[in-house]
Amino acid sequence: MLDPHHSAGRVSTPLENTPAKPWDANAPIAAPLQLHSPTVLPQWVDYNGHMSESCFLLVFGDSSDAFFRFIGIDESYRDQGGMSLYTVETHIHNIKEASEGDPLRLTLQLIDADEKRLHIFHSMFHAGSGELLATGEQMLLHVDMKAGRAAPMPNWLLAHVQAIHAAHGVLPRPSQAGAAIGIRRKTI
Amino acid sequence: MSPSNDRTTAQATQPVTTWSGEIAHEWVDYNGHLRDAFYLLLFSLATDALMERIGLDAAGRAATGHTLYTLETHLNYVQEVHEGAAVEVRTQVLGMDAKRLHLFHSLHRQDSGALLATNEQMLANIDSSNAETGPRTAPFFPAVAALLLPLAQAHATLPRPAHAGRSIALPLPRVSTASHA
Repeated sequence: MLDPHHSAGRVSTPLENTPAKPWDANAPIAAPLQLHSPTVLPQWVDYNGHMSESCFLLVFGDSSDAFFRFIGIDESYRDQGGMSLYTVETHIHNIKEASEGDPLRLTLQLIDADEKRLHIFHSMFHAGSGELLATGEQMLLHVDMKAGRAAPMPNWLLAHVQAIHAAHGVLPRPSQAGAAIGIRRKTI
Repeated sequence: MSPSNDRTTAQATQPVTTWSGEIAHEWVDYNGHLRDAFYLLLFSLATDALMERIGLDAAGRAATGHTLYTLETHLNYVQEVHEGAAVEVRTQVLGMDAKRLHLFHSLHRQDSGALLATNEQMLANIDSSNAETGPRTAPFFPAVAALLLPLAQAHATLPRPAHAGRSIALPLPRVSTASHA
C-alpha cells in the first residue's frame, strides 16, 4: 500500500491543460462556488474500501484547480507570466468516511483575500445523501516563481477575486474554519 | 552506559524517524515538485509506521478490533522538494489522553536535515469489534497504551514545534508603531 493514488506515471489533474474560462463580469457568482463533482475512484481507497486521507486532499486540490481556472489562472498564466498560486497551509477535518464509487460534491468559499493571499474553504459532501464528509481550509500565496517570493496579483485577477469575496460575504463563517488542533480537557 | 540505556536516552531526546525514502515520480507535478496531497501521503505512511510501533499493525488491528482514525490534520508547506530527493519523516508525540493521540510529523531532507513541511494530526482510537454499535471511540487497548505512554512521556521533554497549534488566517494589517514626533 505504498501509493494509493496511482500505480504508474505522474498523476495529472482532471483539468490539466484546460484553458481558463473567460470572465463574465455580469454573471452572478455562486455562493459558495460548486466547481467539482468527482466519483471516488478505486485507486483512492485503502484496504478497507475507504478513501485514504491524502486522497481527500487530492480532491480538494482538484477543486482548487477548477477555482483557478474560474478566476483566470491556467497553464499559460503560469508559463508565460511566471506566476502561480502555492498552497502554504492546509487544515482538514475528517468527518465521515467516503467509499469507492461514492458521488462527491465540492463547494468552495472564499473566506478572505488580500493582494497576495487567498483564504479558501472547501466542503466535501456526499452528492446523494448531502452529508458533509470533510472540510479543507487552505491559505494560498500568489508567487513570482522566478524570484521565488510572494508577489501581488495583477489588477484584473485581483478584481475577479474581490468580486468573489464580495459575493461570498453573505455566507456564514464555517464552524471548522480557524481551528487549531489540540486536546481540549474537561475542567473538573 | 549499556546499549539498552543508549536506546532509552535516544528515545527520550529526539523524535522518532518513522518513514524514509525517495520522492517518487508519480508524486510530482509538471514541474517535478512533490504535490500537496502527496506530502500528506508521506505523513500518513509515517502514522502507519507509528501504529506498527505501538502494536496496531494489521495483525494487531485484527486481534484487538482497534484502529486509529484521523480527525484533524494541519499541514504547513515550508520548502519545495523534487523527484528523487531522499527525505525522512520525524514524529513527535505532542499529547495523548485515554482515547486520543496528538502527533506532530516533520518532513526533512536526509542530506541537510532541512525542514520541508510539517503535519500536526489528531487521531482517535476506534473500537470496531462491536457489530451492534459499529465503530466508536474507545480507550486505547491496554497493550497499546503501554507502548504509547512511555513514548509520550519521553517526548513531553522535547520543545514544542513552532508550527504546532496553528490556525489559518490572513495576517493582521501592519500598523506602524514608530513615533513621528
